[in-house]
Amino acid sequence: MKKRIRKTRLIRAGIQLLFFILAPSLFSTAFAGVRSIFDSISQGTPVEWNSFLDITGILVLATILFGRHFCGYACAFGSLGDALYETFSWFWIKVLHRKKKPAYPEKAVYFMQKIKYVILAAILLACATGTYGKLQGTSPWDVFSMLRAGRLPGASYKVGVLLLVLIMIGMCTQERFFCQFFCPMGAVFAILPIVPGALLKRDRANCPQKCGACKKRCPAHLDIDGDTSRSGECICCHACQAICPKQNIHTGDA
Amino acid sequence: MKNQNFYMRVLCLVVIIGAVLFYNSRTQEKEYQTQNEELTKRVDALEKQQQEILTALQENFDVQEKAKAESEKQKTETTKSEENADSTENTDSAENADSAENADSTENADSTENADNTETATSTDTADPVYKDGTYTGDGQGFGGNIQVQITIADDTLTDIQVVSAEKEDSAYLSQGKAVIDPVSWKPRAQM
Repeated sequence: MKKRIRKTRLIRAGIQLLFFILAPSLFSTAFAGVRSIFDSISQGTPVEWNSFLDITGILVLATILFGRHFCGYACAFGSLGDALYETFSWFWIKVLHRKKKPAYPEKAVYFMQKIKYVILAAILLACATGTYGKLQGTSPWDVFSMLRAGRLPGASYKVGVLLLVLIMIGMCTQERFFCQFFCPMGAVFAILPIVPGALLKRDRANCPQKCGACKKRCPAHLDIDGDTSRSGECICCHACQAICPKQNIHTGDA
Repeated sequence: MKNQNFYMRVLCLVVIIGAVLFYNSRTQEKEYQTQNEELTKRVDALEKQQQEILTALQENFDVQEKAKAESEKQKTETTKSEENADSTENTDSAENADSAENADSTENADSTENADNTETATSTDTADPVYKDGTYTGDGQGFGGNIQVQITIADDTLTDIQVVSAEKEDSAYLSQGKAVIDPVSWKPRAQM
């Protein structure tokens, strides 16, 4: 079983690295597409299809059909979070001799998962009222993509740098900290209708009593049960599938 | 119900897409209306102008005709007094006058046209070319790195802008920028 977990983790890390190098700006481009819709509302012009919406459209369609695999495998910001969390967990266990990886209690996670909708609404409201332009320099994503492009952010990006540092600290304390708590694009993906066949389901009848390994492993503390009110939180990391002692978790309508 | 969350979300998505489409149709209607108003205003102005020009021409024509008629009268009077002119001759002269008038008016029109032509010609001729013809390349700092742009100048006007290389730029953002240098969008502004 350990071998299987290791294998899925390595495959995922490889794909994440590949996307981090080849297409690191997909997440912000996709969100720029969402923003562009509300920008045109602020200008009173009709919403026109643009090159940002190409990316948004492709990712939204892929998410509807296959689940949030983009979040789990391709998003550069999510990969950054995974890298930080894994590094810090290693340090936490090996150096500080703690027993468990750092994680928040279930209730706190459930509560904080709702914050991202507030952030999404606030950003889109700022776009629709035309005040988004004044928030230049506050986006941690801008700072991230600047650093990635090998540029140092200027003095006007103080707020963005501060937010990015705070987010990176948070990323160490909880798996997928930013994705499930604050990511506005994640909020968009989480409310999308995902084809039920693409969601992970478990054969509950076959589950050992009081196992719950999948829920404990899940970065979003999800009950793996197909279509639920919170199934949009699943970022398709497939960790539950790997950890299930009875291999009870599958996609599809079986 | 099975998959009720999925159906609810589909409904939400359809509502959102519907809202955007509704918004689009409304704004487009408004845009068409304002365009319509602008166009009708312009057409009205042009009609007024045309009317003014026509009346001016008519007045001019009338004045000329009067003058001609008077001179004809004087001529015929003199011919009458000098010789016993026939009625046929009279009509001849009248015809002649007519043709002359016609010729005059056409000539007039021609001359005005010519004047216009020469004016425009001289204006382009006399203005010294500010920009030398040819292609020029320049470099600039983009978000990801260097961006090289090539422009072409022909007949003292900018005819083409090409992004030669922008290797480190994100394609979605770059194509947004390229839309700005699209000749269709910048040519009218450049002429103003």
